[in-house]
Amino acid sequence: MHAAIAPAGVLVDERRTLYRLAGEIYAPGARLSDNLLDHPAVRYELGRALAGHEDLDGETLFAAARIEVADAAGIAVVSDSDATSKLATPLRIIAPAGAKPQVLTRADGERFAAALALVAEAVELFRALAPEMSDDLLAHLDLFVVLKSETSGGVVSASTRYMPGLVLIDEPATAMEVAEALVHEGSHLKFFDFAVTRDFLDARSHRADHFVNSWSRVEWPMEQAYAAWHAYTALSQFALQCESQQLSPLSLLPKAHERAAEIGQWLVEHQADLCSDARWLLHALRGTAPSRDEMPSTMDGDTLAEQFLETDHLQLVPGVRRARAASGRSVAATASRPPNIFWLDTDATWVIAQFRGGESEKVAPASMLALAAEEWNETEEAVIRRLVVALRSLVASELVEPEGAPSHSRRIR
Amino acid sequence: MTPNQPVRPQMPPAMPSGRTPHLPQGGGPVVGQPVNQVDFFRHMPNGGATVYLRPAEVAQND
Repeated sequence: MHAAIAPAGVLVDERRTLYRLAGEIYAPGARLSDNLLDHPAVRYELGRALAGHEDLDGETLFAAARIEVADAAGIAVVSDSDATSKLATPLRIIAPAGAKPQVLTRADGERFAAALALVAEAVELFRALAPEMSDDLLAHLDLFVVLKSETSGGVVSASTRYMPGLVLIDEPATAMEVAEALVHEGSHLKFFDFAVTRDFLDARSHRADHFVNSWSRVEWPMEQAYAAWHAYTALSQFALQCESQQLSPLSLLPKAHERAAEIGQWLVEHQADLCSDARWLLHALRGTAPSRDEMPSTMDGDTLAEQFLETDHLQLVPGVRRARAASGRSVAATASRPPNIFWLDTDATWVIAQFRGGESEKVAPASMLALAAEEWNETEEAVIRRLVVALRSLVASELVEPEGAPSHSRRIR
Repeated sequence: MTPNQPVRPQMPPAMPSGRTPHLPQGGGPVVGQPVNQVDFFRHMPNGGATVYLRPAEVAQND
């Protein structure tokens, strides 16, 4: 289902591309490996910088990632005896009022070994029960933490948008409850990766109405309502594979479908505040016809061609940085601090790639058009339309600027 | 920077299970705007965590 937007591998690669670009901006020369770029603590530091906190350097990133882990069927489980101190930030974020959760580590001996074995069993169980879903969700899980039950304050499972890739659970009693947590929290992790790479949420959703659920009357902003709907939808699918399993008394599987339906209905009623990919996924998972956004154009080909060709030159806005993902999309950052971050589709990526000489290069629309006509194998009208749509969006985002005679230079807008 | 008070989804007891949603035939990638801004980092909501608590703690905290 998710693969219709992007397979997990594509999504992870695009996420790395974004964080690598952030690393080049805030810790130039740090040369962050894929493993480091996946590390939740590194992503926390880079996300913090992108939110406007400037106190970041390469050493902070390397230090953040220094935490020992043990393997549980391919999942990295934190084993570091100093983990409670090293993970103080996420523990504080997820802590229930009055609780100070502590991490179960190798220093806890047999207790840790038993929990590690249960996590490994749970990963195998998840893979056996729902192989496609496990591939889809576990790709977004990078660090797993088990909390000491006497300190967890009632946490069953948790994750946080500030440290994406991290899942925390209470000390488990059965593999099945861990498997359910992998589905629940793994869905949140996937949503976090969608939110930084795809067209999901923008300022509209932050100003949107809040959702109040019927079962506990808790109020959720739209971002959290969407995350909850996404997780309940995955849980309702997983429930169908678990009919022979003994569920925990705390299991959400029996009630997941009903809750997904309730939240989903509210989201449909408020879909105008969602961006295109979020809207599409909402309809696709609910089994209703997705509404497709059309490329914005109300003008005929001649008018577009006239506008396009009347712009004298185009050039990159000074200081724009970009990086290309394996998917062909690219991410760009403006020179402002913090930077504005944009994802570019393949057409916009193609356009911006024409500025091979960087911000000093001026490209004439006519030569760009001629090259696109050669490479895109489309009619001239279609090529012009695609170029104009891409350029309008690049100019509106202040990544590319038209340059030349003032009377002409605004036409592309 | 990060807030201390998570917004917690609260989840009490049981109900019937559901059907698998089906992806519509012909579904595929969305055709949207060529350039999309990432707003996720700029927007730092209070809480920013999804925490599933035991029902006893739900009652206690709410």
